[in-house]
Amino acid sequence: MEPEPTVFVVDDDAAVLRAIAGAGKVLGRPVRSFASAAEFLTAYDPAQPGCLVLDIKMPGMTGLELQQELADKGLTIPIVVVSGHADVRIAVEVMTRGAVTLLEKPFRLDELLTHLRAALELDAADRARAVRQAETDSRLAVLTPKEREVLEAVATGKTNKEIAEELGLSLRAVEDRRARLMKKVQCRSVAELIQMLADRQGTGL
Amino acid sequence: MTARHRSSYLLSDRPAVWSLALTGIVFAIDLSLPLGVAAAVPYTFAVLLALKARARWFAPALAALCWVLTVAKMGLVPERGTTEYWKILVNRGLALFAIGMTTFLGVRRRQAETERAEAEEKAREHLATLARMGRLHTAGQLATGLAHELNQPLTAVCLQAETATRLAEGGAQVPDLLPTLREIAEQSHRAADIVRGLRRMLRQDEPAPTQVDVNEVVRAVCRLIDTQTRRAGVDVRLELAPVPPVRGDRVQLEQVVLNLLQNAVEAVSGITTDPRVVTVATSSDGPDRVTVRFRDTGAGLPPGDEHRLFERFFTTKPNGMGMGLAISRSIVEAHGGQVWANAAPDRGAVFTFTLPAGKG
Repeated sequence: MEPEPTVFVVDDDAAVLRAIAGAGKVLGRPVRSFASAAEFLTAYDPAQPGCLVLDIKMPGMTGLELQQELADKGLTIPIVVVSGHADVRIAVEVMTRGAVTLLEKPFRLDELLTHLRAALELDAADRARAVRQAETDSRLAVLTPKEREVLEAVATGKTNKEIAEELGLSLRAVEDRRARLMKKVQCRSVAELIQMLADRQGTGL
Repeated sequence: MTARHRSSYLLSDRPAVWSLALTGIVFAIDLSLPLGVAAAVPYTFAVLLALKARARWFAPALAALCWVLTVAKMGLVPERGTTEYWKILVNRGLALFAIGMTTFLGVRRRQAETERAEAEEKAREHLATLARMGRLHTAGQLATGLAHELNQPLTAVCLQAETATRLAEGGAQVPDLLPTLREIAEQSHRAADIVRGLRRMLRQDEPAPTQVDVNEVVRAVCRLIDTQTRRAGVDVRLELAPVPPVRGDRVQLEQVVLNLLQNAVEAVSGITTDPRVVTVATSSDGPDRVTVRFRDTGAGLPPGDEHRLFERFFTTKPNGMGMGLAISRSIVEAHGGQVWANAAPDRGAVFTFTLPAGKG
């Protein structure tokens, strides 16, 4: 069974940590609290879906540093940043590094919940896309180099005749390869094939 | 100002009277003796004397009078002997020139002195403004810190309260809400404690205690206003005996010493006769009391008002706020000490404060 999406909270102030954790429970999701960035990093399993509520000003590793660390590791967990004194410089930095939003303390419960829901949806979408992508990659992996040539030509919208001329093959050979590769990547139509490739490219791979 | 007032005002101005008298005498001599250009010399003395007069217009006015008298002499008394007329004219012309130049240079110099005094006054005011800004800045920093400190419990309280409301709306029973409600109460108290702490800090009724060497405080403050005392031409003498440390807030004690020392220096710089001395003496009366004395050779205390000196808003200075001694007293008393003033044996005033010596 897939693990349940979890709300992670990192704040050095125990009272604020408890309050955010309590608010997170209103969502009906499990909440895990951490008093420092380091604690979170050791406990966090990237396979675990969820989102992160992160305070900026903390002793030791700050929220900004943790955000950078996660980005460096290629972890895309959506982050809701909370701060007691956010100036424009910090706000810009946080947002350009891809945070969902920046909430200024004290904030309203509804604000927090709205952004937590958005963050969880974002994470779910990210993970779903990653799964589809992995699937696509595994299908493409079984193609021979020659089949791949044909695939690329088909994807750019060329007819079988054009492909045959381009690759110096007989029309019959192109038709054979094309039927084989469509079977391998489990696509019934060119439209489906292109959709699959576009999905994959959409993530910049 | 009426004519009568003006004349009595002038009569009280010694340099003005003397210069007028001198002018009269010189005119009499000039009339009776054939001195020629030599008569102008005493006139320039009269002008120099007139420059010391309080009224700025007096020196130029007297110079004009001297001019008139110098010219008038020619008409009133004929030169004796066979002196040619052009020589008389040249003589008189030189005399007029000497009087004019003396006046011009004297007035210019007096102007420059006034400007320098004004510039110094401005610099002093600037320093005072800076000190006030410094206090405001400190208050501003305190406020910023306070805002940040309060934000955490406020965040917790807001969230917990809204969470409790949401849970109650969802049909939660009171026992389920208890932890949240307790948390709200606790964080509210935390916020209240922060505010209380700040108030205590601002009221200064509980100084942050450390071991303070009073002699070191005196030396530091003297260094601080060294320029000011030297400029005022005041001799500050230190008679520091070895004293035990006192327990208290160093910055606040510095403020007290600065206040009393500045008062003494101001009292002394206001007088015109020597000596202009301020003596700061420390001593320990027994093992558990430290005493600091500020003795000045100034005009002394306002008679009959000694007991009011330490009251708020009581001041004898034209630009005083009447806060310095009141603040000093509250600081000294918060340290468990006393401060008082009395007249010095010969002249001037003595301000004294004592503090309990404290170890540990």
